[in-house]
Order: sequence, then C-alpha cells, then structure tokens
Amino acid sequence: MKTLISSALLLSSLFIATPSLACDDHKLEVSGSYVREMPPASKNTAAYMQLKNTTDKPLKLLEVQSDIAKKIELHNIVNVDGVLKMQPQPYIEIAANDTLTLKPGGYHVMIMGVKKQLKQGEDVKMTLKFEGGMTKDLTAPVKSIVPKSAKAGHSGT
Amino acid sequence: MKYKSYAILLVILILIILSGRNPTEPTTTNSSLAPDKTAPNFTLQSNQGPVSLTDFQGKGVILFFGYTNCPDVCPTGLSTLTQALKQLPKATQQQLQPIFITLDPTVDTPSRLSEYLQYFHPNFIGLSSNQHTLQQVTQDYHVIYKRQPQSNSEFDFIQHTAYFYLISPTGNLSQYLPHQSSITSLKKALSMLVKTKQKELI
Repeated sequence: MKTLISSALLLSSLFIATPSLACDDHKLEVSGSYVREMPPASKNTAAYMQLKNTTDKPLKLLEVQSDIAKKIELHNIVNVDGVLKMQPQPYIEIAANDTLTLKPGGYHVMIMGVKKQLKQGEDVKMTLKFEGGMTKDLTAPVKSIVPKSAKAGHSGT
Repeated sequence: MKYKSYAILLVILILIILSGRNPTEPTTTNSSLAPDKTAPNFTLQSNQGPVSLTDFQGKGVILFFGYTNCPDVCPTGLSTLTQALKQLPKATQQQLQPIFITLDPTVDTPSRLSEYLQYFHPNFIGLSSNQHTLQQVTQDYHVIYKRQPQSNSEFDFIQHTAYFYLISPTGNLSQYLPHQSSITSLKKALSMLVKTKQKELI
C-alpha cells in the first residue's frame, strides 16, 4: 500500500513537472553571461552570468551541460583561513525574487578539460538544468579578461 | 603498551608542528617574512635558465604563486595585475618585474609557464622547480597550498593562498595584497613601490 501511494505520488510529480520542462522565460532570466577566454596552455575555464529568479519560490540550478568540455561542475570559491578552496556544489540556489551573480572569486560554472582552446569572438552553447525539470538554453560569448587594447598610460578601467 | 606511548608522542609532535603554522596571512611571527625585512631569496628555473630574486635589485618585484590550470583565482589575479601594469606610465612599468611561481611543477614546465604568462603581459617571468626547492620557497613566503584531488586526477585543483607580494627595489618585502585587490589599489601600491627606490637613494 505504502509503495503504491509513493509510486502514485512519484507519477503525479512527473506529470506536474512535465509542463515546465520547456523553459519558461518568465521564471528565470539570464543576463551578462560569458565564458572566460583561455590563456594558452590552460585546459580549464569558467562561465559567469546573472540569474534572476522572478518567481516567489527558490530555484535550484542543478547542472550545466555543453559539449565543449569533458566535465562541467558548479563551484564556489571559499576562503578558509586565507586559503582559497574550490568547492563543488550539488546545486546553486537562487532565492525567490532575487538575482544571483556567478562571478570570478565566487559561484561559477567550472568548465574542465576544454576540447579546443576558446578564443574571444566565439560562442559557447550551454543548457542550464533546474530542479523540477526546467531547462534554459543559452549562448554565452567568450570574453577576454585582459583588455588587449590597453596601452601604457591608458586609463580605461 | 610501548607502541601506544610512541603513538601518543607522535600525535603530540604532529600537533606541535601543525600549531606552528598560521595559514591566515602570509606574515606571521616568523621574522623572515615581515614588511621592511629582506624578502627571502630563491633560485628557480625560467624558460631562459635559472632566475634568483636578487637578480632584480633595483626593480620592484611583484611575486604571485599559482598554477596554469587554475580556473578562476589565478586568471583573475593575473588579469588585475596586468591591467594595473598597463595603466602605469611606461617608465614605471620598466622598473617593475612581475614573477609568477608555480605550485604545480609537475605540470607547469618553464616553457608552459612562459606560454601561459605571455597571454597576460610580455614582461612576466614564470618560474618552476622541483618539489623540494619549491617547498622551501613556499615555506619562506608562507604560501599554504594543497592538491585537491578530484574523481578524475586530470581535473585536480590546488587550494592556495593568493597574495601579491610587493618587494622593493632594495629587496625588502614592502607589503602583500590579496588577489582580489582592485586595479586602482594595485596601481597605487606599484607606483609607491618604485618610488621607494628614489627615496632610498636620496
């Protein structure tokens, strides 16, 4: 009986989840996404972005998928007694009606074992997967973190 | 019984060793690394042969420890440093020597370091070494680092302290700044660092 109820619950939750499988742009807005250009000889990079949750319930980002790398994880940088540790995160939660910024030195999408060195001007396609089955496709430009035009005495920031 | 007391002794010894380490900041009670004291010298390998800190007497040195596979912390720090350097007058830039010392010498050969650092700034020097020498240098500079193994060793990370050590043209440790420092504050510190040379000459 117990198993019957739980399987019924499981089934119904599947049905509830189904309508939201395709991304609902009204629930989550992604802005300012980019992937950090890779210096030669490095194999890893990271993606950064702003995630705006427009619902009154927290949203959990569970996974990011892309075929550019061997492995993609959600990470946070934590400062423990001055030592910077990368901590893999099982999920990243965006609070209700809140914006979370993935940025250098904080939460980020860790892209490991990149198959081909990424250069500025290229685009990276990725899919964000959220709890409840919602997904969000996005195309993030590759951006340099070293402004190449910066000349001596140039004061642009 | 005898073994038990040995074990207790060993544990106490380990605790004593561990308690002596203060990982919070690179300056500790150890007088070898304090502002205005001579920065510990080292000799490590660049892609153009051995390099010592004392080779740069007369220049301000910016020392940074990291590794090329570092996905977030090192590129961020190096990018800030690069931008600070590029915004300084050419004459000031020529009085400064940025040096990057790897914490991952098995992967980071001198030539790999050079290739990596060229991306940021042509003046960067990348140094590698054997584990033994590196251990001495990191100890001298109170760098705490540890390999953070992943399920697939190809993706190992290294936890590490990340500071810019600013060494004056006379070879003294001037100050250290966290890697998240702003371009502006780093720029200011670098200008000051070079000025100490003139002050000392007067």
